[in-house]
Amino acid sequence: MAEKSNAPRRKSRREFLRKLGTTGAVSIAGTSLLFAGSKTGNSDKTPGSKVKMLDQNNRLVEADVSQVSPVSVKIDAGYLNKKGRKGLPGRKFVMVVDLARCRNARKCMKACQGAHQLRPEQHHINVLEMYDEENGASYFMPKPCQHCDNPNCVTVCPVDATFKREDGIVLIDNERCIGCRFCIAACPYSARTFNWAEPKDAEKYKDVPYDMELNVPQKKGTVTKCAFSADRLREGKLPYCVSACPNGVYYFGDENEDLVTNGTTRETVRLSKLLKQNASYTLMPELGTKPRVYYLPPRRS
Amino acid sequence: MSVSRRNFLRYSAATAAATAIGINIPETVKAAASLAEANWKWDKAVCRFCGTGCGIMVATRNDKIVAVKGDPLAPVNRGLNCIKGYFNAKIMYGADRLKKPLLRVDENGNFSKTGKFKPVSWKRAFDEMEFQIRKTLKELGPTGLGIFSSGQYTIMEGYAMVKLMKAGFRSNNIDPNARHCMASAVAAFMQTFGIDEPAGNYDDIEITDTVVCWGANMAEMHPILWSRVTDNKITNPDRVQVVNLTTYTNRSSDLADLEIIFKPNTDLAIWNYLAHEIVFNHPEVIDWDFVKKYTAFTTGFVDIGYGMRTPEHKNFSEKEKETVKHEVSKELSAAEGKSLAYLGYKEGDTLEMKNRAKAKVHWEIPFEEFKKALAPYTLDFVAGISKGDDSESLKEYKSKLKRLAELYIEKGRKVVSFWTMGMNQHTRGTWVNEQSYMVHFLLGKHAQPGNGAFSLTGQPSACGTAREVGTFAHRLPADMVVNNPAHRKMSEEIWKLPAGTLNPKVGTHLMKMHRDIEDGKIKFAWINVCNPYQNTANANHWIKAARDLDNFIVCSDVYPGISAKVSDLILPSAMIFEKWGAFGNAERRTQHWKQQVTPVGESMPDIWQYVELSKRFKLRDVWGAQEIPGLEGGLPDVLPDIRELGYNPNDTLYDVLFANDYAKSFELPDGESKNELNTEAKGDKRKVNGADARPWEGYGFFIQKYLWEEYRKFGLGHGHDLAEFEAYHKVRGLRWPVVDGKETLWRFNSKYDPYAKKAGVGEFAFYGKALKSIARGSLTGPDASKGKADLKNKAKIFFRPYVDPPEMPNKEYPFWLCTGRVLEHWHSGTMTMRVPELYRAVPEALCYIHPEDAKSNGLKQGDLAWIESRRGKVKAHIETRGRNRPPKGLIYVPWFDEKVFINKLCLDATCPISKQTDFKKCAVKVFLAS
Amino acid sequence: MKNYILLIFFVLNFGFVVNAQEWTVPAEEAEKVSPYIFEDDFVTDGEILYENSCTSCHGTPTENNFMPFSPPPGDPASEQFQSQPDGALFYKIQKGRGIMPVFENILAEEEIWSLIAYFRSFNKEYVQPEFDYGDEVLSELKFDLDFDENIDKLVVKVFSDGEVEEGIDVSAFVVGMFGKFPLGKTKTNELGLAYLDVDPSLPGDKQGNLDILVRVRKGYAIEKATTSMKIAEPAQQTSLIEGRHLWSTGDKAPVWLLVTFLLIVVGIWGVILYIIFGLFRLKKIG
Repeated sequence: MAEKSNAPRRKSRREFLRKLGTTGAVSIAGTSLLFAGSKTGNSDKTPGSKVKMLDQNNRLVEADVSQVSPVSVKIDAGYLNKKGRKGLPGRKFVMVVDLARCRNARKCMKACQGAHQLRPEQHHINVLEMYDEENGASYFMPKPCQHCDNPNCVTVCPVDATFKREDGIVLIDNERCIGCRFCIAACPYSARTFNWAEPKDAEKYKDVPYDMELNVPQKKGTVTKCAFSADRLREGKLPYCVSACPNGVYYFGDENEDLVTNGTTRETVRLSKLLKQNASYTLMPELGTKPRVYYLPPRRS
Repeated sequence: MSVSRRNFLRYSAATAAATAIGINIPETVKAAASLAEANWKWDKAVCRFCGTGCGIMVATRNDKIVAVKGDPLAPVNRGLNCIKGYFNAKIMYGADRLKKPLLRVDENGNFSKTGKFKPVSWKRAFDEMEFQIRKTLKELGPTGLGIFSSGQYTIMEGYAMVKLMKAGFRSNNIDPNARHCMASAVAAFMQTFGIDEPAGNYDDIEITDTVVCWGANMAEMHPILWSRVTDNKITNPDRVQVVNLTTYTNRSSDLADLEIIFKPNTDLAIWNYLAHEIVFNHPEVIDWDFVKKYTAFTTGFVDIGYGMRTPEHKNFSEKEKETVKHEVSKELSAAEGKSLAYLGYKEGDTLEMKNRAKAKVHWEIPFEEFKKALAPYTLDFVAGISKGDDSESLKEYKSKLKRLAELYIEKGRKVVSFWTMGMNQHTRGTWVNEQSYMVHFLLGKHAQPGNGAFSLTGQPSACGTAREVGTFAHRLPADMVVNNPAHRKMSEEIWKLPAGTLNPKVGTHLMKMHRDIEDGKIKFAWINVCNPYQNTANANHWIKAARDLDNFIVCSDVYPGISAKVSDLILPSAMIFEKWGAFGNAERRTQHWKQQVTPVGESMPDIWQYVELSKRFKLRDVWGAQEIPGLEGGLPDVLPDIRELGYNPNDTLYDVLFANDYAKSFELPDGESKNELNTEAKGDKRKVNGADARPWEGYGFFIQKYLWEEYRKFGLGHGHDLAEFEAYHKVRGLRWPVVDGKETLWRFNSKYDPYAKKAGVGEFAFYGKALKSIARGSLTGPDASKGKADLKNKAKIFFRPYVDPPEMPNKEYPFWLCTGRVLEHWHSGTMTMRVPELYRAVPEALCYIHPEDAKSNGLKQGDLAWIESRRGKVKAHIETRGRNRPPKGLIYVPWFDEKVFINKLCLDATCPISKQTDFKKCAVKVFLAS
Repeated sequence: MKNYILLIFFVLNFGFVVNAQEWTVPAEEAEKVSPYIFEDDFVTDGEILYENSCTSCHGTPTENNFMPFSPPPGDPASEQFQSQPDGALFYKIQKGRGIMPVFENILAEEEIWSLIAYFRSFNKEYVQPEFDYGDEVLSELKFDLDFDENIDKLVVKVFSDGEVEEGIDVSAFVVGMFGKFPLGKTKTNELGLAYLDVDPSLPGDKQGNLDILVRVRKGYAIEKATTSMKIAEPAQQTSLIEGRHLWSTGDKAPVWLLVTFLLIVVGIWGVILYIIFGLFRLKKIG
């Protein structure tokens, strides 16, 4: 038990550290893109022109260029990890899906899959055709992850890879995921999917640092699911599916503010009123999962 | 034999009822009833609620009241009670009765306005009160104190507080909730007669031929009197006529032969129409003998404002300013253009409110001027502006007005006019009260059996306590006033005070007290037996002032109402039969009762609270020189003069005011009265730890009798004579003046009133002394060159014009809001809402609205709607088919319900003479609450 | 026969194609300029309208994924669009042609200008031409904001060039994270005051603050501002992850779970150590 067995270990550790170093260096350069608009290289230095950036509360602010000096921050895995775990304070995200308007355009799925490096058969959000009864008409129901308040998937994860955040979003940290697939078995809504093979365009995303909110790059052998586009929320924008829908199916908002915004018309309404006046319901409430996605009945008027 | 509960109820009720109406009962039933009631002790008492003043019998067993029934021997109600009266016992045992003093404290136990209420000892409570009073006296002097006094405390309590405040603290800032209730009536009495209170009594109801209710829903508000009216009507259905003049159809309309729905405020025009009919079309019915000998024609200023603050006050919101601007000047409407034409105004002119400070001033005018002023009030004009019901034709309405005039004018027909809040809670309440006397005087139909204008009192003792004892900012007992040096001298003699002790400057009236708290001019307030934060208009302002500003508010109450919740210190008080007391009702009948049971929890009687506070202050704390804003020279230092009265500067106010030698001479009764309960005098079985942290053992002398006998001295020989204390425990009350042991039934009438007889000027003598020397002039103003008129033994016939109220419905706020009560609940509901039966009967205040109005505002029966005015908004359920059926354009909301806090919406405009708030008229909108 | 049909088809197409190259706009229309400033909010309004009405044919700007019609609709960010003056674009949207709908009666003028603002946002070199307001002077609008808590109304007092004025449009919104919730739209009264209802059930943040955006418009003059006002009830915001649940992660797991886990681990290690210890002892003996 002496050096012979140690040496290969030490070598791989060194390599591991080196890899981390390069990753770090690449991160700084590459992830300056994560800062919206802080182009340190070619920013317009004339006073009066504004520059957009994120302040310490992750809110998009504008500042005069002369008042801003570029700062080099180490954007590394640690920072992204912490950001992803913490979430947006003081928010409770909720989605309302108006089934009366869904016409199976599937633009939501297209936008989602495009943004998250998914193959066409992998669904973060899936639009299903539902038949409740023989005599009734069928309707289309989009089914994202329900981000339950009592999530089964989080309970069964053995390594704390999936977790629920303060703002209600249930996220997956693919760095920790060991691919045991307990969570897929536990989820009653079949919201999760597994990367059996190399993810799509794996080569293109090789050097991008892993951001669990953005959900890229995907890793082979880990679980992936809808995250309410947490990266877009951080910028104050609506999730990809919500803004891509042409028919006004999705409302998204913050329960603490009691306001939800429609992705198509951008109309903002009171959440409590919308749910009460339209007899909203959730999927499979008897399971006690307390989902955060509400559905408005598919009544055609 | 034993009696089952159901049988017991039947037997005893039957026996009691039968006895009341004189039916014989089988002996077995009688025996069963008396067995069940074996260890009950029945005693006579007075009902806690309205100004009717019904007599009741209460039964106690094991120190708890177990039964209440109407007193068959009481002349007022003869054994009947209304539904509230039957629950006089249950009101004492509600689930959340206050039992311990509660103070707002922070975590360290120190007083903090933002703290939560925690139970404290009586000593801690008094310590905090003493500290705060001293702090306020140092900062603001006596005018920094304020007492919200009441028309519902007993006569002895009111008297004790008046003495403490005026003689002790030398402050006149004591004003009762009766200011919101009877002030207009009082002001009109003083202006017209020179002395307060009605001439007639309840016997008039049976004697008269005509009962006219002016804005008074007697069926619900004075139910027993209404049952007497009903009795008279049913007995003589053809001769007796009942008229209900009202702004909305109510239960009194069910009995009325003639129902007149008029627009709010136009009662001013209708009285003038009656006078016009008499003077222009039937001059032969004017009783010239009466008018020439006993009356004089007078009038006053019209540009007197509406008792509101002026618009530049910092606390007005923009919306409020829309109405408040009328306080400074008003554009005259078409109706006002005609009614004020006699002063040279026309429609569209701006009336500048120049005489706001001279509202009370009046002067004599010749009859020709009086007649000239009445000229515009023809049937056409008055019907045009006063018709209140849209669906009624003008022709029909005119015929009704004409019929009303006929009833008044008919020779030999006796007429009694009754009114309560409809005429008193009015921005020209004093005027409209005076107009009632105007009509009755012209016809010579006043101060006689069955003939007269009778102002009905709302509260059980607004007459007996507030008015007679003088718990007002400007009054002293027996109709005396603080700004009259002769009156002050007399009071100082009776109270054995050095000359100059009493404060000659009129204090702060109730509405102004709230405003002064908001302006930081009053920083200590004590709420006695009332609920000022629920009963005052424009409530949002006052609640904010009480909670947010630096002040200290104490509330002596029995249940946690809105005022208690807003205060800083709550003192649990004993309720009506837990102490000795006396009330004076609307017909001047003073009735006493004895303590029946021990108070609940640690609650203590109000007299004890005031007297214990007096122990904390020495003469040298309060009788030194004081600065009074607005009083030149302030209050003099009277300490040098106390030696000759036998006091020294270290005597407490208790020693001087309440435990002096005269007081101590009233020994506790012995003999069979030895075991009578008397918490103040003897202590009681609870041995509550009192203000000095020692168990309470009593003062040792009969303090209630002392207070009564000393108070009596004020009225004897001055037209306010009361009988000795013992007399009232032998009979069912006596109507004052009680001269030589006899009550006075009709005052000012030489046949019945010894004072009128003594005046010796004829059949009548209006012997009131106040305001009897006035200037002379014409309709436009007084004329100094004409000298003064001496109206000794005369009353006044006032001419008062019609004017619009300050806030009327417009496009944005299309409805009149009228507020009031319902039969089942008393005032702010603190007592009656705790009785399960009464609560079940009427659990919430509804918004009564015309069904078509509801429909056009998108509302259905039972919908929850917002009612919004410029000052606030509340939610209430809509009722289109209820007991009150308003015409289109008016809604009615009762104020007993904390959950429907309607006073947030009401306008705090008052009659400028009486300072009484007009709760019956403001503009609101109604819409669905989604 | 078939050939003839084909020939006609081609010719017609050609004709269309030829026509498509020239959609002439009258000169005075082309010179039209927007009276509204193309600022960010205006561009966003345009973006929303575009996504609702135009994406179906014109696709997403810069991606050139428009429908293959003839003539092709074109990508708004392309040179074909950007080379045309504002007025020409305005005219074409209003009047339409062929498959391009006539939007004159569907969209208000302000809305069509907002679409053009959106197109121009893709053109870095664009400078908005100035509008000649002629005699009409753009008023300087200022307003004071207050809240009347007695009747739950927002009170806006508008000053136009220093004086109060009647009839000015006032609209207010509550600014949420993703959008603006409209409180209402009204005009000022003769005292220059506008009242807007605020629903008392709107939740604020922990202090009871709401972000209120007020927009005041008189003719072409627009003024707006966002203020944080303390007018709502302070909200008790409970955290979704507080407490110990089975699904809580890390040290927030239920105590019994942590204790059990610890005991099992300790137990198993204990057994392992006992066996190893025993083996050592055996070795010693044997």
